[in-house]
Amino acid sequence: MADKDSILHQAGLTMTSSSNTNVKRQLPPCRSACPARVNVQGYVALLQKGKFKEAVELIRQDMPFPAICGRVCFSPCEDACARTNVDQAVAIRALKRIVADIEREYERVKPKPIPKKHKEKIAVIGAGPAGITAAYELAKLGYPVTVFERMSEPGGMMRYCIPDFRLEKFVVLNEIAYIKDLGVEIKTGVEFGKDITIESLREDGYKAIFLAIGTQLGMKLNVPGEDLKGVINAVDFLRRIALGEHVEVGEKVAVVGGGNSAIDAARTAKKLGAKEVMILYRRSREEMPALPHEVELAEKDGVKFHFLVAPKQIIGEDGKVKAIECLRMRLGEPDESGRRRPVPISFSEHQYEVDMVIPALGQVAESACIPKELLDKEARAPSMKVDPLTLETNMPGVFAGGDIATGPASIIEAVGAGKRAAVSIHLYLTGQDLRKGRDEAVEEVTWVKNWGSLKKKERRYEPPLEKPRLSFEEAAEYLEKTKQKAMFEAFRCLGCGPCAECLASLELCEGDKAVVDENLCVGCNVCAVVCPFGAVKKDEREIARVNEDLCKGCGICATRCPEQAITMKKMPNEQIMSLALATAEGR
Amino acid sequence: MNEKEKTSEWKTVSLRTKLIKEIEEAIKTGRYRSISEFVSEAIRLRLEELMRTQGIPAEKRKELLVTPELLLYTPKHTWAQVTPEGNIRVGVSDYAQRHLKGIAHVMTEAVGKEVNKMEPFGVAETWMFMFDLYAPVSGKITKVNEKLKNEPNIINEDPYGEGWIVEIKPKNSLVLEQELKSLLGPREYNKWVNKLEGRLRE
Repeated sequence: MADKDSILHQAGLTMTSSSNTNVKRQLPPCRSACPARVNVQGYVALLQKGKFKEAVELIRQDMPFPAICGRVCFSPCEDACARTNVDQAVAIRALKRIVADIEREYERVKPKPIPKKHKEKIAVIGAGPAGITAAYELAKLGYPVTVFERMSEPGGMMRYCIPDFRLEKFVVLNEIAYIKDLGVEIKTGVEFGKDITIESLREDGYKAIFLAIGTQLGMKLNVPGEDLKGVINAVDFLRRIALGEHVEVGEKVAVVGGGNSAIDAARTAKKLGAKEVMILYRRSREEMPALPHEVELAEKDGVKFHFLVAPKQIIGEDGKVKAIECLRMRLGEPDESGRRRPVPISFSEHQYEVDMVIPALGQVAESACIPKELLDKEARAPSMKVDPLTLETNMPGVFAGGDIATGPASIIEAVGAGKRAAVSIHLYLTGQDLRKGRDEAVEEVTWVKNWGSLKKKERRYEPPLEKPRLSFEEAAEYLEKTKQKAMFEAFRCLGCGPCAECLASLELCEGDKAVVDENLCVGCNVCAVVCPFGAVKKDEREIARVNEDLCKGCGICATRCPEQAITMKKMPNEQIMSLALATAEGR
Repeated sequence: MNEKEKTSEWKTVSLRTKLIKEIEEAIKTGRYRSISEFVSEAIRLRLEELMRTQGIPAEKRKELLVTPELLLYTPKHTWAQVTPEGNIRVGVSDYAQRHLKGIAHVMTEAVGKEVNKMEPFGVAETWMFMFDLYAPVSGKITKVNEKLKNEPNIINEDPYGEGWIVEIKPKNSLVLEQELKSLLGPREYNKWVNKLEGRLRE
């Protein structure tokens, strides 16, 4: 494979261009939907074989947070999954979580530090998902990387803004500890703009700088009464609780907003003892950006939802919140985000009696953190001008990505940005063209088209909402059962991408079909044992025969053959397509 | 062999003062009647252990369960040890530790809280499970191992030493004596674990 060693290929960022004629190298929908291009089909295929350890390793090639994303990712892969045409998407997120958890439970070995091949020091500002991923990818390439973090612990929003009941702190810290073990240095308690600046880092010999400072400030409601006692922004509220501070929670709490942090804040308030928690959202339920299952869980917790209402003012008494006055809304024409714009209905004012208001309208960057040279003066909110493909800023050697460049987004999008930054920095430091071969357009293929004829199979594995409470001897049995269920679930995957990229034999997967040299074959049967598709069998003459309908051309048999009797032969694209279709129908 | 010949084979054994103190504590609980009984039991166990481990390769030997003497065990895999102050130190056994490789948290009842024998006094949380920790004796919690808060992994490294979890002050000595008697000795506990794992060696 020509691009096997290229940095783009390693980061999973090639195989995207439509100029690639080999269908085998195009992406299945799950992988192309993932901003970090996680090889979903690959690890699901490994799970089918019960290879849990290898599955985690494969995920780690694309991104450093299997356990975190297995818990809180918004899983665009599941939305894209071809299985949705038949019944329900494969439980990709749940599978990612279970492989990561099982690895942590029993098999994790401390990784060895990666030897440093390059001399150029790189500084990453911000130990959130974007920064850590960039550091991880650069460390894998052999660069000395230092991450600077303002807070006392790394993790960014994952550590400080996602409540414990969704993502445990120890999971975040553990995943980052793994990256530290690989040789990434993380310096906490260092504030960018105060303790260090771009100039000071350059003087210290850092050749490239990646700014991943995120968006830290909660947006304001911009209504009268916002400075009353009892109004606290969702980001501050969640951060203070994550820091272990005591936050007084009112009896009746109103959360304004419809995103994930609104749901998190509402559920946290309820768990901290608020008697009544309501979420006020100006659009309807369908437009809510929060994850649907999180909304359901919040309803289960007893959080009430009021849709199509927007706050007009917060009414106070003796400097404390007493009520929130709202206007009713109706939905008008769609705006630039594609969602229908809420329009206020006049004279529809009404009040809710509350003693605490939590605005959760999203976040903006702290303008003080952005160097003046990089500040985007035209944008409404403080942000940086960043090339969306290469993440370059207008200062050479300075890159920026993650929330700071895109506005508040998700963990997996930040991971994708971190990967792209790492590739850019590597190309920059080695003096290569930053744009060559980096086509963001993704060619996506699904081989399976005959949805009607496929058997319906419901999901077989969902992670439990609460951790099971067991005795020690029951744990092993439970774990075995869970593994079985996860393997069954993995079998629901249609394998609709041409190649799972399981990376079992990268050299040989250039070829597409196994061919046996009858003169060399000694009938040892190794090929029949290793073939994942059951395509190889011995015939009556004790010679291996390849069933052409079943062979997917993975090349595993050829690597294992002690006599080197098996070679891989090229196959035309049409033939690959028809073969894959046959395999998918068999599922 | 007659009585005379037997006595002529006796040898003197010197014990460290620290160990004697510990044995005396064990005698108080009624597990041994005298120091000599303890010593002969210890030698017998040591010989048994040697016979069992002979021929087992070094890396296999590591897999063998460690169940130190002088500790008492519950069937729920917690151990109890009498401290010099007369309190009961509690931790989890080597067997339990093996299920706690992915330990993330140890949460216990606060100091001053009353606990009852064979009722949970805390939880060990891993990435996938919650394990209840059962109190071997009844009493009041007087100390919680603060080290576990930041490094729960010391439970894996040293379950019988540094990795202790709480100390319990017993209600009164009478109840304590009763409760300690009902706990399992190291050999009984080993048998119990082997039974659980379905591979009885004896």
